[in-house]
Amino acid sequence: MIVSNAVRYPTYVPATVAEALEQKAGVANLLPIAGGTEVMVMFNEGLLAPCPVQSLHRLAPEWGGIREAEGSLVIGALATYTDVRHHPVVRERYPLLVEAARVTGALQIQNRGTLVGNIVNGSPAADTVPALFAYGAQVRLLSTRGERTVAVTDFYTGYRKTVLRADELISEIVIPPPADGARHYYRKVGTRAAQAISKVVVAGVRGRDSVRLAWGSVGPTTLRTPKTEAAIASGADADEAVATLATEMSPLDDIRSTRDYRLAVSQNLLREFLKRTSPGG
Amino acid sequence: MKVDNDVALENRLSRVDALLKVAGAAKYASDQYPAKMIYGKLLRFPYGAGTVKSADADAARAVPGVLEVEIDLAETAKYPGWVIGHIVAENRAAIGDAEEAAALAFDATSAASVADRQYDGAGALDAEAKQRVDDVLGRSAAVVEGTWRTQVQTHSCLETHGTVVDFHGDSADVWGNSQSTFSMLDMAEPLGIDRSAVRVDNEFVGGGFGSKFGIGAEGRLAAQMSKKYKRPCKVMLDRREEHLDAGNRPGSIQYIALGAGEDGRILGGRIDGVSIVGFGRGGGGVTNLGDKRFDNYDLGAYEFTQSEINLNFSKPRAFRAPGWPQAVFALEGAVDELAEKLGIDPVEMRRINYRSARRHKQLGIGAELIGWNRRAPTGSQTGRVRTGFGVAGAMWPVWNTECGAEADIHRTGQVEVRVGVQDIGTGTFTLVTDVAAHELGLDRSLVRGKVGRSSYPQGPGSGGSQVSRAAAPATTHAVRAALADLTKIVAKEWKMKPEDVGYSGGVFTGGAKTLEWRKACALMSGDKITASGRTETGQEGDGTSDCVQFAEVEVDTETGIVRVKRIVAVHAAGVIVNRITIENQICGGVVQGLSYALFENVRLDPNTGAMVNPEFINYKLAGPVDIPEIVPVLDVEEGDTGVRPIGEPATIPTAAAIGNAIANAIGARVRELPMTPERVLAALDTKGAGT
Ligand SMILES: Cc1cc2nc3c(=O)[nH]c(=O)nc-3n(C[C@H](O)[C@H](O)[C@H](O)COP(=O)(O)OP(=O)(O)OC[C@H]3O[C@@H](n4cnc5c(N)ncnc54)[C@H](O)[C@@H]3O)c2cc1C
Repeated sequence: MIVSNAVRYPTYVPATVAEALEQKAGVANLLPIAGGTEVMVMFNEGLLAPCPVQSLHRLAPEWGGIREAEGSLVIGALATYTDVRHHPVVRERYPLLVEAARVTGALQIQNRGTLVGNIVNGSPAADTVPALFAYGAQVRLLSTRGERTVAVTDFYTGYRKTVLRADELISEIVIPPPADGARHYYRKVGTRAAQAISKVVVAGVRGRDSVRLAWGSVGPTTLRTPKTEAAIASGADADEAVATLATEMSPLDDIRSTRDYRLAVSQNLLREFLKRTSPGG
Repeated sequence: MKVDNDVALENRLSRVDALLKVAGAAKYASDQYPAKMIYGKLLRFPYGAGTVKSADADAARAVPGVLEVEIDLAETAKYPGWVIGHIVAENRAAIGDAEEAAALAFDATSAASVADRQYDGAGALDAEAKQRVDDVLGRSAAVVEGTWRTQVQTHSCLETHGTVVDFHGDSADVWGNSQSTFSMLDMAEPLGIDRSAVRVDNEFVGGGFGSKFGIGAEGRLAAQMSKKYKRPCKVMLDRREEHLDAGNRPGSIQYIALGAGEDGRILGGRIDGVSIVGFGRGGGGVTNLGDKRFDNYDLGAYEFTQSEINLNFSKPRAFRAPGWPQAVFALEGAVDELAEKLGIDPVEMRRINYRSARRHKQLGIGAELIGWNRRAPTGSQTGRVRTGFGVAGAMWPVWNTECGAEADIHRTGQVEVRVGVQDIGTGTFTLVTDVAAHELGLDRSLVRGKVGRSSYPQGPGSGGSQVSRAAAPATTHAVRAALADLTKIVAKEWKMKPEDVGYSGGVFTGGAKTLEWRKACALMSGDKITASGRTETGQEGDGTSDCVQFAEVEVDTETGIVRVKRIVAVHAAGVIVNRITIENQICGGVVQGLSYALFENVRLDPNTGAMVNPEFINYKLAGPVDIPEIVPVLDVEEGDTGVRPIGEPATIPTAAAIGNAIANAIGARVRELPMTPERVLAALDTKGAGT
């Protein structure tokens, strides 16, 4: 494809959140750009239909940081993977996020790409989303009409479909603290060692009497497997858990992998999860 | 005159063009922006076969900046990427807009996109041949029978094919990125001028691997448009076009039935090789297996048959050791399976059956370096991650080609050497410089090697791994001739006979007199002395480039992911000029072989015939993290003559060695490339030994 013609993408650069929200409400089809690691690839490939774009970079003072509020972790819309990897609180308490950030793209992508940018498009292969599912994260949406907060598990309504409205921007992701003593497990299986879209990705948190498992690239959206979680929580052994998983997961064939492979590997990873997080282990 | 071993001058200096390349100062064809340049772009059919249903060429022509739009509605396309027209414009953005405005719509007709649909087993043998095969297998102590498959791989050159042509009426300047500087003179034909009126600048080439010979459709369009608009014209392929229509290594389906005696000696059997060759022939197929001259092995009494399956895909082109990696993957896999059946160690099996004594020695070197004694019996491991070791070997014939060179010695003491051959990343600049510096005993900083222009003396294209072998002695001859002329000047000054003047390490001597290089050069009456030299076909001796490679891998039995930990690559290297460039060739060959083994794969949509992955997102190349420690070993023997071919043999055995290592680790064999996690898990599953 031919390089797109930049003239056809008028650019807005808001200096404040208020201005950003006004533009988002007033300009039709306005496309936000955070790190640009998705948008610019589409642009270069000629796959981005001409539209006005909104660069969020000047909002960094308001939206750039990672902080703690009322015991929860708050990740601003412009926080990058690198920020996530290096933040002491994230490193101490949210190992799944550190791991997800570590296996996303490579350093260049991690320096530019944002966590929020990763969740917006509803790609079932987005690598941080299973971690956010496993931690029960909340997504904060702003517009000139006000603010609302949605559980990340309710954010997606179908393949690449979300509840985000045309006039809304995401301001931050809020993540409650994991239970004390919980065990965390994250694994990405890609087509090569780095810079690869996942074939299967799983994130799991196991507390004393609770289990949360989230899977990427095995369905139309990132998904949890509640029956398997319940089975494990009520003491099922590995064979039972694996059998249950097969009843509630039906991955597809695509260019990156096959249904059979995805199911088999998901089952293998579930066994590994159980071994690694077993209370006695 | 035979100069073979005279070019021995092993050094470890970095490439002479390294700084130019890392600093972006090396100008490739795509970096050329002559004034008033226009841009051309080929339009291509996206599906396996069909025609253009509709197009709005007028709307495309109306886009500001567009000079010309041609769309051929009558053309019947036969593969994805088939040229159906072109756009020429003042800038690239206008081309994009014009392509959109043209609103091309297509009628796709049915296309052959799945080789296996056309494959119905090995071809029939006549009764006698069949009897011979049955007999030999019948008296074998062990027989292996199976079908191996290899994928279609594209060359994936970092710099896509492309050309800039500036036509001046009766002459033209051409900036190309060809593997053959002199094949770019074919531009004369579309330009309608004499070959001698074409000036080719082909100095920097971003990879070729066999795909960049001749002027190509892109060069032809650039020539035609430059001629028509009397302005320079650039046509560069984009990555999609590069995958679709700039060459590929044919796929293969290989049926092998081989038998061996109790002692491990291969007795014979049969090999049936089918090449998956796309729309036209070429690219080597798997034909080399049948050529006795190139035998890796003493295969005893065997029947060899071969045929082709045509898909609606572009024509293959020669690709780094055409036909070899696919053939060696299958054959070395089959030999490993025989060894396993007979309970013979794979290294020993090769000692019994390799013809080449050189390779016997290399097996010992490689086994020691990889730590072959750590190899556990095949299938004996039970952990989640299992380690395996594998070996494979190959050879490459030596070609001897004519090559010319020219050397100047300047009054200032500077030396310049010109050879028209190209540097496609292999290090020809460095080779020419180092050979000349060594020959004169001068510091490298005084010598400038120049390559890649049609105004320099002619030499071979970069095919068959022959450029270094030809350019090194040609350079030596030219430099010696220039030195002889300078010696005459010194002799005259000293009133001696030239024969009585000696020279070594930058100093002339005669009787008690000595004269340092720069002072001797200052004696010249003119600005410089120029002399030429050449090598002739068949002049520089022969031999083969034997090699063996060993692989150590780890296989994760939970995901099927293979991590190559180490490759030891032992290669007959002949005369070594620059150690860095030769080791770099070996490592590059291994990386490309590993990428072929585990990742690369052209995927065609079985319904539309379109290529589904004409990019680098889903056409996966090995990335830096996938690349293991590579240990290149240069095997040099007393009596080796000339610079040996290395570029091609380096990539041949890698996939086979990795395949054998995987089988050793997991006790199950993947007989199909690429050896993806899906295939590894499936192999484990069939074996019934999953986790
Ligand atoms: C080479 C490469 C490798 C990659 N590897 C991976 C990988 O391994 N795993 C993976 O999951 N992803 C990967 N990606 C995809 C991408 O990098 C991530 O999804 C990244 O998180 C996107 O963030 P960004 O800030 O760059 O997004 P942008 O490109 O700026 O935006 C992405 C989308 O989010 C929207 N958006 C951004 N911010 C907001 C906001 N505040 N409110 C509303 N909408 C917003 C944009 O409009 C756009 O639609 C890779 C990309 C590249 C180019």
